[in-house]
Amino acid sequence: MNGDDSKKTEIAKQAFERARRMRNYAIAGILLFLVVLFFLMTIVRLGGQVGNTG
Amino acid sequence: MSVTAEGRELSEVAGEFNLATVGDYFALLKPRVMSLVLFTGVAGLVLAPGAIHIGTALTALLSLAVGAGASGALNMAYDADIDRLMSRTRLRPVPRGVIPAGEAAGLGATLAVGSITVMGLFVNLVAAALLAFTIAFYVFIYTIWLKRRTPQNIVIGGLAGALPPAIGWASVTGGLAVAPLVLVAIIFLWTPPHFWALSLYRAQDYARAHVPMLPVVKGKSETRRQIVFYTVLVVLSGLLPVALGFAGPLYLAASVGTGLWFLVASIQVAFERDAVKEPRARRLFGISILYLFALFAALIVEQVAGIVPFAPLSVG
Repeated sequence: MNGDDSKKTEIAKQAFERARRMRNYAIAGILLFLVVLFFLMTIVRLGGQVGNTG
Repeated sequence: MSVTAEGRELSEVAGEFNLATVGDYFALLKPRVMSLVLFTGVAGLVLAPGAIHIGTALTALLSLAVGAGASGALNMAYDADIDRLMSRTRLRPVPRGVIPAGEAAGLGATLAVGSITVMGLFVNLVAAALLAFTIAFYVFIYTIWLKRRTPQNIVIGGLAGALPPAIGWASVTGGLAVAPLVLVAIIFLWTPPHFWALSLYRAQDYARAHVPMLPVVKGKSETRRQIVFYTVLVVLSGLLPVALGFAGPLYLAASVGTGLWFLVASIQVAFERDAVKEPRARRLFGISILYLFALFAALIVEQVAGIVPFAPLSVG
């Protein structure tokens, strides 16, 4: 591998890591949002029965 | 190293690393189409009689938006070969090579199933069934069957884009009525002049990709005639909410004002002399968006502001 190829690979690796980091943050945010949404919607669907454990 | 040179070198090695950004995945969901779907869905939701919990309403709109995005991703996955040939679409994430078609299809299918499930569990089954029908119609009937076979592709396929007001309405009522179906009819009739205006100035693109849009198959003169015909129909149908008694003075002003503008612009397209640059078709494309926006914005504002609609016209 010559110097140019090695430089290209290094740039691509950095870009890949940056893109992967941002994708991971986005996935984490979406999953957290869905957890909150499902919890809140379950409470909404239960309505007045939310405290009824019997 | 310049940004361009760096971008070129990155694209050379993109096959080795997944360089797709969050923005690329977002672009896969066709955000502009999604915003129109959401907007018309909101109109159906606020117009519907009865009450809906704000959380349920937001969940319905989220499911609608994600369902629209799923359709967009599945469409881009299937159409990557022709998108690559058209200047308007060649920079989309799949033809550009940053997201593989299989991954786009997987994401689209996951989002489709997820959005329908959430709609069914937290809103109601009628809204979920309508969402499922809309996604299936867009993907199987429009994208896979009609788009590459007939110049009527966007006429029939337009039904998928027209259904969001019905989904919004069904989210509240659990059923359908005349009012949401009139809104569906307005968007259905609006779709042909909107996309044929685009196809007039993108005719070479469509010809290169062998997509049988009307100007490619029947010629530009026939397309101009059809644009005027459908614009007359959509402008007349745009008055139906007033006649049927679910729209008021603000809507009437918006419908007549922008409707006449839309109609005049379509007639001007019929007499276009510059068949290469098609400046009037480009203008009509923009006006058609403003027309639909004005109609649905007026409906939403009237509902929110509590403006009383006109009494329905009675015959006899």
